[in-house]
Parts: sequence; C-alpha cells; structure tokens
Amino acid sequence: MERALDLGLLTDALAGRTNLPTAQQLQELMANVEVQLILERAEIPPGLLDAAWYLHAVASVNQARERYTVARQRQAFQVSAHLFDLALNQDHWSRVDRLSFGFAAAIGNRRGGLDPNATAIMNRLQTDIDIDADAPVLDHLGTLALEAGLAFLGFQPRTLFTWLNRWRQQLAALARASQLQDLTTTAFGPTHMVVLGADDLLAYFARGDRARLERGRVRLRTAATGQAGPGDLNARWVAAHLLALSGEAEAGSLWNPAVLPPTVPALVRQAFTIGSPPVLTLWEPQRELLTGQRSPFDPGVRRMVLAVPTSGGKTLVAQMLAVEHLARTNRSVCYVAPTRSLCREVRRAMASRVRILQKETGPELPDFPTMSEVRDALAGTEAGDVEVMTPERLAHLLRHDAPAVLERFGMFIFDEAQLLKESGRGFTLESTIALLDLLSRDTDHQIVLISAAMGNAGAIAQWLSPDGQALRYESQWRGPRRLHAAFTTQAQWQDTHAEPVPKGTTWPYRLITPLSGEIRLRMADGRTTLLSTQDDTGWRLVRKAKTPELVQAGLLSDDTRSTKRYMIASEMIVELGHAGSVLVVASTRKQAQMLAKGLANQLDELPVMVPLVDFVRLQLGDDHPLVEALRHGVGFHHAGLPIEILEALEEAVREDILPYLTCTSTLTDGVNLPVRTVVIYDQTYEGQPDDAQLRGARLVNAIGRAGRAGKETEGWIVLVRAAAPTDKDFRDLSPDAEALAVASSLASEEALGAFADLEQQMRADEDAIFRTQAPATSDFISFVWLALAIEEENGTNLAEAGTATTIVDSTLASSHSPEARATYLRVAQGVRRAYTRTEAGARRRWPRAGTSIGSARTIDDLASELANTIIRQERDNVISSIDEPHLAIRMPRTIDRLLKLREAPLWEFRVTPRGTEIPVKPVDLLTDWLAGVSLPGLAETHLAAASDPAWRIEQMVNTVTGQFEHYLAWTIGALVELVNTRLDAADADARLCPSLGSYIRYGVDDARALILMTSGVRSRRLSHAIIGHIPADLEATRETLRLWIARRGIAEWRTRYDASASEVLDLLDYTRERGRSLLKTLLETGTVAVDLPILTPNLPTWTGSLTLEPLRGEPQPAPLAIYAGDQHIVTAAAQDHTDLSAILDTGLDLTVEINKQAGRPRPSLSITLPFSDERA
Amino acid sequence: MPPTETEAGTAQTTPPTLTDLLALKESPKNSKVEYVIGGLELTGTDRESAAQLLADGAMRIRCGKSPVLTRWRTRRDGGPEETGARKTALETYAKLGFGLRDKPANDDHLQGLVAELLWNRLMQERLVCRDGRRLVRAHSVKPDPLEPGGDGLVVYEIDDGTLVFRLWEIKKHEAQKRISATIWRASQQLSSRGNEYLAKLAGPETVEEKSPLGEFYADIVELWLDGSDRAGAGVSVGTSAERAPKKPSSFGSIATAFPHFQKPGQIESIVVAIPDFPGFATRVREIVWSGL
Repeated sequence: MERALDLGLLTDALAGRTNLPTAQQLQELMANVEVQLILERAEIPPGLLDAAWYLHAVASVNQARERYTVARQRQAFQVSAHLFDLALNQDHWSRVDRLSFGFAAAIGNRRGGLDPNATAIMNRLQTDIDIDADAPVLDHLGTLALEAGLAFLGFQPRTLFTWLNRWRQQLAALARASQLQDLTTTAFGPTHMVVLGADDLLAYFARGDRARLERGRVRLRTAATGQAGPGDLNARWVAAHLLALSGEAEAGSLWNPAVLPPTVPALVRQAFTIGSPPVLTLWEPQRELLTGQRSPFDPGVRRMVLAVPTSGGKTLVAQMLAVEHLARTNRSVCYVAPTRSLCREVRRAMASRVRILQKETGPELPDFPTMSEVRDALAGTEAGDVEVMTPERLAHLLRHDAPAVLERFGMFIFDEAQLLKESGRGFTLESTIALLDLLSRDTDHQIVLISAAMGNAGAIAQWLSPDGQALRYESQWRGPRRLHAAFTTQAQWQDTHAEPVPKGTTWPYRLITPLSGEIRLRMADGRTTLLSTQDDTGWRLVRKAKTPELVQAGLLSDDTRSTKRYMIASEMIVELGHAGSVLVVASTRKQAQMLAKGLANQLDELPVMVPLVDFVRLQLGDDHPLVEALRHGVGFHHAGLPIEILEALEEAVREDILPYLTCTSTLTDGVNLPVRTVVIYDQTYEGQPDDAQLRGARLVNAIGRAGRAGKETEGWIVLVRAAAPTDKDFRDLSPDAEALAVASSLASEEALGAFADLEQQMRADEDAIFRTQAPATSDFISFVWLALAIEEENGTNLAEAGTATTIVDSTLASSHSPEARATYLRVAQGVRRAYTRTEAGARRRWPRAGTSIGSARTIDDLASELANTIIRQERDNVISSIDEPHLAIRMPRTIDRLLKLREAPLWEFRVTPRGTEIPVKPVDLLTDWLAGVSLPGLAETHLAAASDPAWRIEQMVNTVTGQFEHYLAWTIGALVELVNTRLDAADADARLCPSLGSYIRYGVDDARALILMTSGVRSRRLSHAIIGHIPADLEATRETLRLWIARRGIAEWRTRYDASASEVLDLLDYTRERGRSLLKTLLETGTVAVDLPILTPNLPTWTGSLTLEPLRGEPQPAPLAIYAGDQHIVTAAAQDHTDLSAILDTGLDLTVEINKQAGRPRPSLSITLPFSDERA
Repeated sequence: MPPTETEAGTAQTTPPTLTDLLALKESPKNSKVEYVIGGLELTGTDRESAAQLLADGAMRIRCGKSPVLTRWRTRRDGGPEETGARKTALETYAKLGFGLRDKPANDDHLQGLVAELLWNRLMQERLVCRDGRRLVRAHSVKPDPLEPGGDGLVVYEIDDGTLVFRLWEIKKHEAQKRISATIWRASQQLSSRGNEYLAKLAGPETVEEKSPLGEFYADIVELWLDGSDRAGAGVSVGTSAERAPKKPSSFGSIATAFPHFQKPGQIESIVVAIPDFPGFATRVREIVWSGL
C-alpha cells in the first residue's frame, strides 16, 4: 500500500487535529478497510468519514486566504479522496450520498494531482448519473448539480458534450417558460449555473475558447456565492470546486501556452483534446516535464531520456513530442517499440492523433524488408508521417540506407528502452541508437528514450550526451494506488496423520498434513497484516514415510497425492476476481495453462464468452484446451498461440469480457494490458534461465499492469510463492534503482567471457571474427562492420585506427568500464583490419543482410551460385517461372542451407515434447503456408502424428512465427536481393521472385494480397478470401484495390468474406481516403460535406431533423446511416466511415443535413457545428 | 447587520410574524438546553395565516425573480389557470417537496418540508437571541428536503463583534414514539453529518476573498470539531400539539450528543407543536397547489 496510507502524509494532512482519529489510527482504519475490500465486505467506521469531511474542508478553503499551507491542502485532498473512495465500497449509501462522496473523491483526486483516479471514480458511479435521453431533467434537479459536477470531473468530452447539451437544453426551456434568461434567482439557479459553467469550461478545455472559460468562471462564481439563487448547498459546493479547478487545471491545459508553445497550432491541440482518447488536462508528471526549465519542445534539446512508470502517462508525452515535431518540421517521426503487438498499439493510438492533422501513420511492415520495400519506406509516396517499427526494422533500414533514414526522419522515439539490457535483442537496440547518435551528432535529429523500468536514467542520458546536454526526466508518479500482498500456504503440522499404503513396499505409509492459506498484506509502515483461511481448505501435503510416526524430518513429498500447487493457487486467485479482471503471470507456458485449467474448474460457464469461444474454436479446433477454459471465463496467453488468438484475448480483457487471463511474460513485456489485479505466480524450477525469471524490469513490467488508470483507483499485486514467507517477498515486488539499472547486454559476464575467447582466437587467426558463434561478439562485429561501411561511404579513411575508437565509444557498453572498453576496442580494430582486407563491393554488401558477417558471407556465396545457375538456365532456355513464389521457394538446396546458418531457429517437430521427431520438409510446409492454409490446417496436415491438438498448434505457431514470419522471410529476402543484383549486373532478364521474402513473411502468394497485408489488413485469411473473389485482371495497385473493396461495403465484407469485427475495422481503415481528415475540415471551417452513395432521385422524402449514427440492428462495427427519427434515409459510403466515425467520436454537438447538389448526380451529407454555443 | 440571505421577491403586504402567531414559550432558566415551544394554540385564522405565510415563502424561494411567482399568486387568489409551458413551469417550482395533485409527495416528506419552512421563518425573524446574539445570516433551507444531513446554519454576532454559529437539524415528529426519540435521532444525525454540511460550505463561503464572513467560514469546521465556544448545535421539530414535550428532560439527548457545548445557549431547540400538524402541512400544500 502506498501514498495516501503513508503515515507522514496522514500526519501532515491532519496536522495534529484532535477529536478525530490520529494519523496512526487513521492509517490502521484505512488498512483494515483495504483488507476488507479483498474479502469483499467493506464496512466504513464513522471515524473515517469524519476525517474525510474534515480533510475535505481543510482542502476546500480558498487558497488565497492562506488559512492552510498549499502543501497541506493538497495532502488533505489526496487523503480525503482516498477515504471517500474507500467509503464508496460500502453498499448501503443512498444515491445522494454516493454522488456526494463521488464528487468529493473525484475533486480531491483532481485537485490533489491524481487526475486519472477522478475519471475512475466517475466511471464507477456512472449509473448514478441520470443520462437517460428520455428522462426529464426536472425529475432529478435536486441532484443534477452533483451529477454534472461528477460527470465533468470525468473529463471525458465524448460523453460530456452530449450530457451537458441534453441538460442545458431542458433547463433553457424551463427558463424560457419562466420568462427568464436563465434560472438565476430561482431555486434552480445554482444548478443551472453549474451546468452552464461546466459546459463553458469544457468548451475551453476541449476547444480553447478562452471567452467561454471566463464566462464559465463568472457563472460558477454566482452559483458558489449564492447569487444565482437560494439554498442548494450541493450546487454551491460543486460550483466552488469547479471554479477553483478551472484555474488549477488551466495550468495543465493544452491551451495554456506554457504547456504547449504558442507556435503550436490550435489543430494540434485539438488532436489531443478531442482526439482519441481525449486529453483535457495533463497529468502531473506530464505537466512537470512540459513546463520544466528546459522544454522538450525546444528544438535545441536533441537527446531526451524519460523514465516514467507504467500508467504514468508516457504514451501521451511521446505522442505530443511526435505531433509537435510533425507540426514544426517537414520530416517524419520514427517510433520504435520492442514487439509487434506494442507497435500495433502505438500505431493505433498515434493514428487517432495525427489524422486530425491530415497526417498518416505507416502500416505494419516487415522487420526485414526487401530493397524495393526499403526504397518505398524511405522515399515512397505512401510512407507515413509517423512510422512505428521494431528495433530490428529500423536497424535494417539503417543497414540499407542510413542517409535516407536520416533524411526521412527527424525524430526517433525509443519506447521500453530498458530492452537495452536484454541479451540478444538488447544489442540490436543499443547498436541502432549508437549508430543514429553517431550519424546525427552534428545535425538537429532528436533521439528520445522512454522507459518505465530504468533505474539509471542519468547514466543513459550521459551515454547519449557526454556533454550533459540531454534532457532527463524521472518521476515515480502513478494514478491508481497499489496494494501488495503475498500468498503462501502454511502446514498444520499438529494435525498430521498417517495412512498406510496397501501396496507400498518402499514407502508403506503416507503422512498427511493439512495446509492453510495465508495472505500477507503490506502496510505503508512496513508492517504486514495476515489473513488466514479459517476452515479446512482441503489442501494436503502428503509425504512418503517408512513408519507411521507423525514427527519425521527430511521426508520426500508425494506429488501425486499432495494437492497441486496450481490448484491451491487457483483457488485463492478465483477469490480476487470480484474486484475486476485478474492477470496471472507465470514463468512457463505449461504453468500458465495449468493455472487456467485450475481456475476454470472452479467457475461456472459464462454465457458472455460464447462469441470468443466460437472464434477460438474456428481457429484452433474444438479440442484445444483454451476452448474449454474460455467457456468458464478463463484464458491463457503465451507465444504458442497464434497472434489472432492472442489479440482476441487481449481485447476481451480490455473490454471487461474475460475476467481471468493467465499468461507468460510474453504478454507483460510486449502488450500494454492493464488489469485490476496482477498475480505473480512465482514457482521457479531447476535450470530456469535468469532471463526467464520474473525479476527486475520484467517484474516491473508485470506488476505495472495492476490498476487501470481512469478505470479504477487501486490495483492489487499478489505474489504467490510456495516457499515460506519472508520480508524479501515484498522487497521483490518493489525493485530498487540498482535492480532496474540498464546496462549494455555486452557487459554481462557471459558476453565478456565470449569477448575474451574471441580475442584469444583472433590472436591465432584474425579471421576468427567470421566464425564466432557467440551472439554478443557476433552482433558486435556486425555493428562495427556496418559502421565502417557507412564511414567508408562517407569518405572516411579506414586505415586510421581512430575510426574504430569512435565507433566503439558510441556504444553504451564502452561506458561501463575502461577494461571492457579496451577489449571492445581490440576486437573492433581486428574487425577494421578484416574489413579493409575484404573486397570493396562485398564488404559493403554484407552488412545489409542483417546477419552475422560470417553468415552474410555464406549468403553472398549462395547468391552467387544461384545467380550463376539462373544465368545458365536462361542461356540454355530451360528456366522456369522463378518470379512466381511457389517455384522460387523450390530453388535447389536454398532453404536447407539457410537453415544451417548460426542465426537459424531449429527446424524440428515432435510427436510429444520429448517424443520422436516428425519429419516435415520446409518447402512443403512453406507451400501450404503461401497458399493460405490455416494454422490448424497446417498442423493437421503436417503434424498429424502429434495427437495433442494444443501441442500441434504450438509447434506450428513456433514455426510460423520463428521461421516464416521472421528468419526465412529475412534471409530469403536478403538472398533474393543479392541474386537479383547479380542478375541485373549480368544483364539477365530473369529475376528471382523479388517479393519472395514478403510473401513468406505474410503467408500469401499474390501481389494484391501482399498489398493488403502491407497496408494494414492483418488477417491472412481475409486477404486470401478477398483475392479469391477479385476479378483476375484487377490491377495490383493500392488505389484500385481500395476502391474495389470499398464499393463492396461492410455488409458484403461480412457475408462474402466472413469478416470478423476486427477484420471489418481493418478494411474500413484500408478503404478510407488517405491524407484526408473530415474532422480537420470541420474543426477549421465549422462544416464538412461528403457525397452519399445514392442517386438524388432515389432519395426518400422525410420530415424532421436528421441524425448520423450506426445502422440500427447491425453488429458492431455497423455502417453509418442517416436517419430522420425512425426512418432510415441512406447509408454512408464505406470509404467515409472512418472519417465520419472520428467526427462522431468527439461527442461534439452536430447538425446533419442532406444537400441535393445542382448539376451533380449524388446528394451530399453535410455536417456542421452549431453557430451558437447554446443552441437550445 | 441585517440578514443577508432572506427571501427573494417583494411581498405585497406585510404579513404577521410567525413568531407572534406561534406564541413561542421559552424554556426554564435552569434548562441545560435552551429551547422554545410554540404553536400549541394555533387554530382558526392564525393557523390559516401561518399556512399562507409558509406557502408564500416557499414559492418565493423557489421562483426567485421569475414572473411565475406573480402568476402563482394571481391564480392562488382566484385568477385564471395557466396552460401549456407556463403551467408546466409553474408546476416545476411548486412540486419541489410538495409534489403535484396527481402525484403528491409522501406525507413524511411534506411534513419534513413544513418543519423546515417553520424553522427557517423563525430563524429569520429572531434577530436577537435570548443571550444577546444578533442574527447575521440564516442560510435558507433546501427547497427539497429529500436529502439527509445538517439542515441549517445560522451565523450570529456577539457583543465584541465575534461571529458564532449554530448548526441545526430539523425533523418532523409524527410517530407513536415519544418526541424525545426524534430529538435523539436528530442529535445523532447532526453529530454524524454536521462535518459534511460544514465541509461543503468551506469552499463556496470562502470564494470571495474579501468577504468579512469568509475568515469565519474558513475556520468553521475547526470550530465545530474543537467544540469551540463559537460553535453550537440546535434541533428543531415540527409536530402535533399533543406530542409536545412535557419537560426539559425531553431535550437531554442534544446535550449528550454534544457534551463539549457547555455554555448557555450553545445547545438550542425549537419545537413547533401545532394541533394536527399533518393537517397543517396538508393545508400549506393545498395553498401551494391552489396557485397552479
């Protein structure tokens, strides 16, 4: 437990106040309530509420009076907000009480600097806010001010615009009937002024209308001071707080020039305030960063290191940096995230911001693109303004054309920068950053590193800017509180009894000991509170014994008779589900799967799961264990499942459909999936690699998922261990800066050992650098080689040893110790010498492969052989259609040789994990993969010998992701490029299928399918289905395909291609008109129009006003349709859907009309913003 | 200093004071709780005058400066009935706490509302208290007494200019139990919910930086929790004459709930015990409805 339960904070807030619980008593009372929340029986002692209201009063007194210090008032807001929040967990309050406590908690959080908790409170109490369109506001006028205040504090303009508009119009009607301008002086005056004032504030925070801010303040003041009307304490209370907040929140408003420089256009600000998700004010760390001594928007700040915890709002900061950069310069932004899933998430979030500016995010593209794809990516007209990619892809682009990368991008943002220290991929990231840094030392390129688990931001900043010029920002701030707990079992030795085993010859007895469960909760002062199970749990420890004597030591456990650990854990975990979604992080796939089974065994079937269950059945077959678990509301998530399934599981958790998900760190490292409760199932096993243990940054990533900002105010983290409880349990849950220090992966003992070995080998033979097998040395050599190649292109004299020194010193590794640096330098000098010995063309070609230099040499040789064969065949006129992917993959001995390189994953299939091998020819499997056979289809065809469906699928997923989507796509792509370069040089006509690498990457065999897959349509199944229906002669261009697919429309996508909801969304995005933003036009001009897909004479007649909304009765995402009341007039075109949805999503009050256009066959849909702010 | 938050609007005639009509009788000097009891003999035209006074006052608070008030009075006095949106508007104001003819507020709410109106009127008329406190401000009651919690705050000035306050809980009593039980319940409620009432005032009453009262309101919760001499509590009950308390001990629970308020006048009570209090409340409502 943290923050508000901190004794110092409580002491300062109470400041010795008597006649209330003391700070210590309050801490204890609060802790007890927290414990009760876990048990789902919250009872709020009266003392807590007394303290809450007292502190609220202290906090509420106008600061200008200086009655209390600003610091104390802020603490009082925070503590009182926490107390009201706890009180809301008790059941029996009236609606008025809930609204009162809710407003008090929400305003305490807003004014206490814990903004996301205010949104969470509003969301929790949303059912108490009467927003029924048919309910007359006059029926709940008595509580309307509280409702409006609480709704406003949610800061969710999408809904707030609508609600306030509805209330405002009804109150205006009453004022008119009362022959008044507004309801001031009447009993409803204060409430009316609260609603109008809140609406004014919203107009300022969302759209920057400063006059409305001033008017809102005047209105709120009249309500607060009682001038607006008599009585109504609650309306006055709400008004006073909103008035104060209007000033405090203005400091964090995006319209405040101190936050975003005045040069930033209004549209950029609106990209945040009414984009998705809308951001009305910044959270504290964001505000601190942007208004600090050095602004990150200062173009002179070229290097930044931001260390902000998960849920600390770092995503938004990155978005703001990117968007401001786009508005200021004509270069793009490159956003680097470590996994494809995270890239997708960032891309989605970024798109919603930049589209308002008529900018685009690029689609998901391969990590190892072909040369032509690299050219398109770096100079193509389709390239996005923000490109989101993995470190591998950026590294690959740099290898191919570093100057073009620097020409194209002006800002590089590296998210999850703690990845630097991971063995393997860490150096890819490090070398990419180092290279960029090296190449942009004298340019204005900006490099930003962001991390939620970086204990040494200072050292990292020093690496990037040895002159100390890097902007470094660190914060520990986070919205939701955290409660830490540890679960273990306790053997009840005194209740042990013995039982004979009839056929037990070696161990004729079993000693059976009951186990109880214990949850320890950590208090803020370091004490722990213990909760123990009271009744018999049914859990047993069974030990093998030779005699029935009850007290014996050193006995072996009988694992078949003892209660399984995963069963015990799942029985405890199931009790945590009442508070919200639970994520259970296990060390292995098997553990994750067993825990899911254990949880599912205790839960009834959940009807809401049916659609997801059906989807998974289709993808994996009826027998897959995930299907049965999901029926009961439990999923498991690990790398042995197809990405479509993983994304569906993640979405189900986000949507609060799936209550329990077990997973491995694949999820917590790679996906931003916050939940209410994270359970760390820490059952280590013998031989577990260090990297696989949930420690340090990996643990921080896992526990960082607990507590969803804006959704709840508290997250629980429960550690489940079999070992006896120790104080270390809780220390492990809070790794310190040292544990989170980010060091180069080259500095590990293992890596340094590999460097020592290499040095020794180099002493005997300098060519040892081509043979080294250790990943660390091999990666280092590749990096130095690439940097030398770039330096050579730049005209640097490589005979000088200083070049290698500069290259080595650009790495993080060299900064750790002089001894290590000396080693790296010696190796680098060896590489430089080898480089200069190598033929000039080859040495510059090799690094482009992205493999080790040794493997690159092999691929180069293979390319030479293949090119010679093709030239010979062409000359002899016996050449086949090698530009066709199915034939190209059958080039003799090619795949087999690639699979023997050092980088190649093992090509191996087995009947069971330890069973006999199943022979599968790579080319056969690849053929089916290209032809579009589904994963279960591939598994059934090629792995029929494996009877366990889960194991079959798991092996196939491993092969598809490891081999096809990664290794073979990459190396075959590199090989094809080298072959075709040679064919070109030899003036041959034939070309080996240029896009072969991409076909393999995406599992398609048609150029048009490839266009779809590289344009944001993620589903291989859908791409194959569309291509199956497309006219054979339809040109393979993006635009032709887009128009053809758009004309089919959502309904046909569903019926003809069987498109799922997420597939429909992808198609909607694909078919929209790129580079157009209707929202931008609407915001700038107040009106926007698009043609409707109907001929004017076919338009029906209608009366009354029109609305634009999803087609009624259709599944989501439904087409957008225009209605006049209940009459459906016309459905909008699919290509306009995304743009129109962006407008509807803002929640702005809109006027919809259909205009018949003279001289044009089709009518247009016109959307306008009302001229007056108070249309009533 | 005159009352600052009196009723809006301008009365056409000067009505008799409610204090006079109720013929309030003060508690004995040695009573721990300073109380008054009145209304025991309220019958005939006095009773009707009191009901008219309350109904008119209630509508004045609701309608403010809206011409709706005049229209209501005209109709009440036999004028034509309004129609359409105007009638709807009129009904919106009238139904607060009273309900409408086709959907009347339940009796408990109605009687609670009338008890509050009685208290509010008496507070505004009592410009000087028995101990010499002079009225500075009586916060008006909520138009709709559905919400629980402290019901009213009155601020006074004593001789040296020091501001003091009394926080009141107002209840109606019509149960079969003794009135002391209602007084006890009101005391408990005030004790447990007083903080909330005062805390909610801390913001709005200190908005005006230069207001002389602001200083006082900035301290008001501290004074309440301290049991300061400047704080005090009161319980007001509206009931029927036959249920009027017979002896000072009926008020004892207020002193028990607020043991730290020891000075004379720090704990007060008002009991308005009118013959057939439910009938009186119904009459107030009828007058309100007669204007629709």
